[in-house]
This record gives sequence, C-alpha cells and structure tokens, in this order.
Amino acid sequence: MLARDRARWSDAHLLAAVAAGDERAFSVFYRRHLALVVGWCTRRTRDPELAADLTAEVFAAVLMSATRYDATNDSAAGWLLGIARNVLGHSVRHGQVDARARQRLGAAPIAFEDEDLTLVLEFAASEEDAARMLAELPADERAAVHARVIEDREYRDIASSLGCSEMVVRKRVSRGLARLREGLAT
Amino acid sequence: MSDSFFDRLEAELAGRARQGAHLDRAGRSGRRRVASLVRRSVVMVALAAVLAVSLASEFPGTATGRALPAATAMHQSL
Repeated sequence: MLARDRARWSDAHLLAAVAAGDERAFSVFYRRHLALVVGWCTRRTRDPELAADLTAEVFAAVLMSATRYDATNDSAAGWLLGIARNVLGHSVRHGQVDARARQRLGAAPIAFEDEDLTLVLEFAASEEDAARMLAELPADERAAVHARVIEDREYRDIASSLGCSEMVVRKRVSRGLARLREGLAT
Repeated sequence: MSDSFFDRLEAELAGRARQGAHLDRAGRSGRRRVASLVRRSVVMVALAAVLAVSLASEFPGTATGRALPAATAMHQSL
C-alpha cells in the first residue's frame, strides 16, 4: 500500500489502521491534525513549549486509544480535541504535564529547541486561519462545527437546539471539518 | 537541517506503533483489569469473613441464628 493512498483515507480508516499497528497511517493522521492540536493547546496555555509537550501526550494517547475510536459517535477532530481536553485537565489538576500515555508506550522524551518555537507559532497561526475559515463556512455547517468542536456539546443537544436530527448534525460537522481541512491544505 | 520537535515526535510515536507498543499495552491493560478484579474480590471476601467473625464473637446468639427478642431476653434474665 502506497503512502499517498493513505492520504486519501478517512480519519476513521486511518485510526483503524493505527489500531492495527500501521505506522504510516499514524503519520498521515498525525500530519493531518497536528496544527489543530498544537493551535488548540497554544491558545489555551499561551506557552509554546507547554503546548508542544501537551501535543506529544495527546498523540501518544491517540495511539493508545485508536482502537476505541467510534466514527458513528464522533468526528475524529472532536474525538481528538476531547483527548486534548482530558490531557490538559489532568495536567492542570496535577500541576504537571500529563505523560501517562508516553510512559505506557515507553516513548523517549523529546527536547524542545528554540527553533521549535517558530513552528508552534506557525501552527497556532494556521489554527487562527482555521477560525477565519470557520467564519466563512455555510451557516448550517458553521453552527454545527462551532457547537460540536468549539463548545464541545453533545450531538443530541445540538440537534435539539438546531431543530434537526442528530444524523444531520453529524453530516454538517463532518462536511464542515472536511472543508476546513481542504482550506488549510491549500 | 535538524528535525523539529514535531518531526521527532512523529518518528518516535510511529516507531512505537510499528513495534506494536500500544497493542501490547492494550493486552496488558486487560490482564491488569482482571487481576485487579480478582484482588478486589479476595479483599471483599476477607473483609466479609472478618466482619462475620467479629459479629459472632460480639453477639454469639445471632451467630447461631437463635437470636431472642429483647423483651424475652429481659424476662429470662429476671
């Protein structure tokens, strides 16, 4: 299987392959969502080094829990940011960056260099671009993506407030996130 | 040019995926849950046994299943 084939795979397909030990699928998933996670962590911590450390833990947790991802319940971006929220919450509660997933994996620590600072800021900026692009989405998709990803609300709750079915909300979130990804990739 | 933090992170985690570190862990996690359940069950049984013994020593009548109502016990003592 060629690496470029994986680039066309859905997130669900990639995560299923990751769960089976496909390192290339992990790399594609990682590159696809890295800016989202780094930007999210940077916006909440306002500390690039801390954001990088949290990002490392988030993707280690992705590797550990890829088997538990259920595409029928959540978009991959929503699931990923849910993990990020857990990692950040655990870190705040314990006063130190959560490293449980990396320890379980036996992953080596990675030093943060000065040159990495620029990269984090670039990722954060690209997430700001995403915020601008979010504003440009069609109103129905924007409302669904905002409610699900930014406000972290349940699909049922969103469906109730938007007056449509859960399935419709899921489709809008999925389409909106796909548009955002396409926009960021160009 | 050296790899960035994120390139090294990708290489490290992809390497772990290739080695199946996350799969081993999932198996170990399941086994640990079973072991934990067994440990908890043993502790609960031990606690129940200690409680039963202490109850039997404090209230011997109840241990035999022949507990008398308080009024009857009082009449007998008179």
